Amino acid sequence: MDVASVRVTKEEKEFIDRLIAEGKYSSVSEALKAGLYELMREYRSSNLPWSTRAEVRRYFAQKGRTLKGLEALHDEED
Amino acid sequence: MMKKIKVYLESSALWNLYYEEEGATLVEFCLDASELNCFSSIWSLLELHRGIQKRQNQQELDQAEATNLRMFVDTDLQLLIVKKKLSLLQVSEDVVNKAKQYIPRYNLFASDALHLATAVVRTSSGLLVDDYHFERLDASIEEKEGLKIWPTSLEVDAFRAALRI
Repeated sequence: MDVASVRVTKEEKEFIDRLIAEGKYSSVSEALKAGLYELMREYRSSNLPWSTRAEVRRYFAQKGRTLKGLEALHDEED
Repeated sequence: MMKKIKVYLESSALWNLYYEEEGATLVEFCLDASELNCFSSIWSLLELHRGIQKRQNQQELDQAEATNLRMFVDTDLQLLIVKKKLSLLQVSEDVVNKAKQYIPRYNLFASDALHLATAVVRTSSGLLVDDYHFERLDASIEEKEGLKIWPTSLEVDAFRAALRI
């Protein structure tokens, strides 16, 4: 895995440390990656028709269903 | 710190988050509940992707919809993991060995056996599954493995009462 250094202010570092102390993240890396994934989602979402899970569900609820849940997956096994 | 209750989200429960209206409410509740520790097997990712592909094969989804849905699911799950709302566990040798025992014992399919074994090995309190999956699982699993099985169609209040949270 690649390593990148990030400069943060004292306040920002304290904020990250507080999140870790509260158990929200286990390391500085994890906390910053949460922000990175948010950015990735935002970037990808700009090309996607939905931004929330509820929107995804509503979109597909309007479509006709040929399958129910993931159950049909198992029919392929036997 | 209060010990959290471990809840295993079977792949059908995760599927409810993105494609099924019914069942989504309880799964969303579990992911947000501070009293619960939600986890699944990393194998679930493949089942979600296969679920999308199957619908594309059936022409329920066109190619663009399938691609978008795959991208959304992957990104969303990454966020849930990094926010500690969900953990995806590895398919380890002890899980596979346990799953092998479950196939003849309960006449389970490989995937169901893998999910059950992961939940048991990681000492989950129970499994959250879509109703249709639930019907396949032998009722004696609860008795023999000490594992509750909750359908995603269960009302949140009933679920909370069952867990006393």
